[in-house]
Amino acid sequence: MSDSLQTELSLDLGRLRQAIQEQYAAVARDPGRGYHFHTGRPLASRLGYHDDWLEGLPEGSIASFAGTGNPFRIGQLQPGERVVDIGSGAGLDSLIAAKMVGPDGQVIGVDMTRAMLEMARKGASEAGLGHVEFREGLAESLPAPSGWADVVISNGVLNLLPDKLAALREMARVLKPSGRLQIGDILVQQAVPEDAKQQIDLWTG
Amino acid sequence: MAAGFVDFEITWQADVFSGAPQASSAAEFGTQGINFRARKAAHEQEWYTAMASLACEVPIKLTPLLYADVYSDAGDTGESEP
Repeated sequence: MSDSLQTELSLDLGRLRQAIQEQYAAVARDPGRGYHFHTGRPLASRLGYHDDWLEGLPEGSIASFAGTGNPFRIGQLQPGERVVDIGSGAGLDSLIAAKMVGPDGQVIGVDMTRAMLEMARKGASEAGLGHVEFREGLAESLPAPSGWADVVISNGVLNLLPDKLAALREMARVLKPSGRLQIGDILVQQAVPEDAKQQIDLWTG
Repeated sequence: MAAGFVDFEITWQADVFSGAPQASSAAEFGTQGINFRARKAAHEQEWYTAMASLACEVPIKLTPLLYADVYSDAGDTGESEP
């Protein structure tokens, strides 16, 4: 995909990615500041995250959680499974996935924001989860081998990607045949006007 | 579907933005949080079959009205006038 989208959108992809990085880096640095979305443990509870999933995970990882759904509510992950978490952010879902798949499984969290990757790696280290790693990359070109994953998870990320089909094709590429997609995201029930789609602040807020 | 998935299903949806500390455009567009799942097709044939099932065919079925004796209550015996 080029830096300027060749779709019907004339959005500056570089500016959009920068705005997203700034927004979620701010959440990681200062999760309690108050945003246009809920964060942290109250949000996790609202989305149906079980307390035992969060047990033993660093409070910093939980506090920076900013998902819009619950990939694990669709189906718990099984011991030994391989998981890719797209847009892993501060890492909470990757850490939960690592707990579920156990030491015989593997989790790769992918994020484009270095500050988030550092935070996620710190969280994994604090939680003692050595079978989760965080890689820098984009949803449209995932740093994971083809046919590697049993499950792809993501939470509140797909809506931020202008080229959703490219991202979904990458998800399909890294999945094994019959591999599962378990996604939390958003839907809009009213059509978004074309001019609104060009406004970068609306993508992040 | 176009990416190679089958069995797409939205399993949950709810308002996850109301009461957030800052106002957003979420309410304006009826934005809701969702969970959805799908499965990568096991092989190409499964995917082709799923894609084919999406083809829009409008079955042509004659309605009962066309077969009904619409003249039965008209007081007309069906016999021609002398």
